[in-house]
Amino acid sequence: MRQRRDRRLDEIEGLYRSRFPYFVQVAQAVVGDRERAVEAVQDGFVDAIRGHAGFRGEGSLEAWVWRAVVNAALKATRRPLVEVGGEFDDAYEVPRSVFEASPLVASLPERQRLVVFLRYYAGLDYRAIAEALEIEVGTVSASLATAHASIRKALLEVDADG
Amino acid sequence: MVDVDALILGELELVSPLGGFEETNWAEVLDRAQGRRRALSRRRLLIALALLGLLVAVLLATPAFGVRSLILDLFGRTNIAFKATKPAPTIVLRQFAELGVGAPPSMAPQAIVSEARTVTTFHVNGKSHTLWVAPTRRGGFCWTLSEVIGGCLNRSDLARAYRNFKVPKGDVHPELLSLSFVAVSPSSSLVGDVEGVVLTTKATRLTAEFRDGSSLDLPFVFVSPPINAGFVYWAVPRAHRASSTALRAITARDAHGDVVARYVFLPIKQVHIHVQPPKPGAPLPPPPSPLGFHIPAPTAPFQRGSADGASITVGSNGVVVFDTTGVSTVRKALLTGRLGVGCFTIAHDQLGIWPRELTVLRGFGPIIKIRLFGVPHPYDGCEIEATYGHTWPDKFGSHGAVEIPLTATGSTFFADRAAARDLALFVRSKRGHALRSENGASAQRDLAKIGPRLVRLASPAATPPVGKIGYAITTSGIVFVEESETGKRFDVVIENGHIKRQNIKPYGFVF
Repeated sequence: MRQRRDRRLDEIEGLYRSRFPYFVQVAQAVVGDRERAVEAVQDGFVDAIRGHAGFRGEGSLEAWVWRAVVNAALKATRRPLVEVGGEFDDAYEVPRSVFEASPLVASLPERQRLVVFLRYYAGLDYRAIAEALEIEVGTVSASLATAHASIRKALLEVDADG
Repeated sequence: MVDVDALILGELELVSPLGGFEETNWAEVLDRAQGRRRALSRRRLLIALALLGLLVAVLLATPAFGVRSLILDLFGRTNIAFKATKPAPTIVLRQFAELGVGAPPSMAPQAIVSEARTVTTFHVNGKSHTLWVAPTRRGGFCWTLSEVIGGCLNRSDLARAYRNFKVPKGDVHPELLSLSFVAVSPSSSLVGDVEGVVLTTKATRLTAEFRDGSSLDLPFVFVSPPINAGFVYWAVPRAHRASSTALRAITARDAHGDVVARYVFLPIKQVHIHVQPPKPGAPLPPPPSPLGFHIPAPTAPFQRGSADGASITVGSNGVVVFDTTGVSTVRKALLTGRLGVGCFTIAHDQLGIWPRELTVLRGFGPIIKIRLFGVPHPYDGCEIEATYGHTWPDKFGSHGAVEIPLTATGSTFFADRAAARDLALFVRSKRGHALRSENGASAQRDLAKIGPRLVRLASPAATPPVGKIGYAITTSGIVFVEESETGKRFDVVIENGHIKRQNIKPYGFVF
């Protein structure tokens, strides 16, 4: 049992060392600035290590760590977390810097935004995104398709107008 | 094929650009996870900063200490000699070069890219922003502040504005301080961050004036000729982000304390524009030109080319006429909706190949006429890309619907891009993503199911036949390889479920 835990800690460290910029990229998109994003990633990994005994191996460890980091980033916005099994209801305010950088991305509902971040920044597949956000795979697919359509439509319209 | 994923990635890059590994601190994670406190907690850091601030305030308020002028220098003008600055990095040179893409010659800034320099770094809101500048052939300059803003100013336009703009006696010209700002929040008119340019060499101090009567000197840099302008980027302190204490104006003063420029931040007012609907039965106005102006005929010397049933005539004035009457019915069926129509020239710099291109959106027709500005002439190729989407395998073999090379370089680019895009589309596809998490035996089984387009390689260094995607299963993942008709080899190395290395850019992208 102890060996398994040590191995899991090694795996978490491996994720930290190999994927750090991507964790920060997603966290920054949630919290709005790089300094707080780095803090959120640190917080997420602290939570992941403290709670790794609770990881039962039912999904991927990476998705589970992503969940910890996303939750830490959401917590850093000083708004309620995405509750386990709860509803996404635009619980956190879109940071000003995100709004300024891309009103289009900022205008997406929270769940779509998070799905887009995890898909494009983190490169996670649908199943991993579903595990990270504790939603159904079908919900990931639908959220991504809707977000994709909204962004595509708006960008092509802007392009055409421009 | 307009790559919508690329557009989305571009938008996301604005929100959160990818950084590096500099800030990793695994030791801190472990310490905190084991219950130890941070080396310096945020709260303790704030207390320390508050004490430091108190000390500075005491020193400033007490001339006897003799440090007042020393400290104030930090908040005044810093002169920077243009010739002493370092050249800007290649990626910034590209940005300056592309400022003119799409702009008619009379409006193009014409930045002298080879003269672009790295000036300084502003630290605002906890982030670092680098300032780069470049003089222009029109006697002005362009600047860009990383992750914030950029622009160009033309001194002859400004001089004309000075002549035509009558400034009351005793007042100062409003254009000498060219500022832009970001509001505290999207719904607020209070100023949050201020960025701008100081256009009078006399300015030695910039002072922020607040509605509560207080003021604060701001740091700014002044770059010597050929730029000959100052730059400021500053965040309004939290205490001045309320209505009663908000920023009112920024004033530039000379060495004698006289005001030489002033910018007043006026409250933003909502403007409602009422558009009168046309009367029933009234004749409709003529439809506007798609570009908003008349496109002339192409002028000599011409470039001509044909392929995929279409032919083009390219004028040295950037006008391109596509004759698509010979395009096959199969291709026409896909050329629906908005199409990406454009041309490119291939350049090379330290970063490698650099396609300089401009694409405009147009509907399909027997004759499509466009005018391109800012793409260096003569062109290496032109194309019409359909916007039907992007799945693997692509309907046109990852080629554009109509690709017309004008030079050997153009032919090479089209061939290399098709191979790179084909590989990228596969790696990005649902199947490609699913394969990343599989190990040797199951990966081999699933790869074999995909069909004859995929072939197994003897080793990761091997190359598949042209038109096939090769794969080699390694101890930690999979290597995918595709070779272009020109012999250029593209590969994507997957390790532990993630892309470790790839050479698809700038032809395509993978994630």
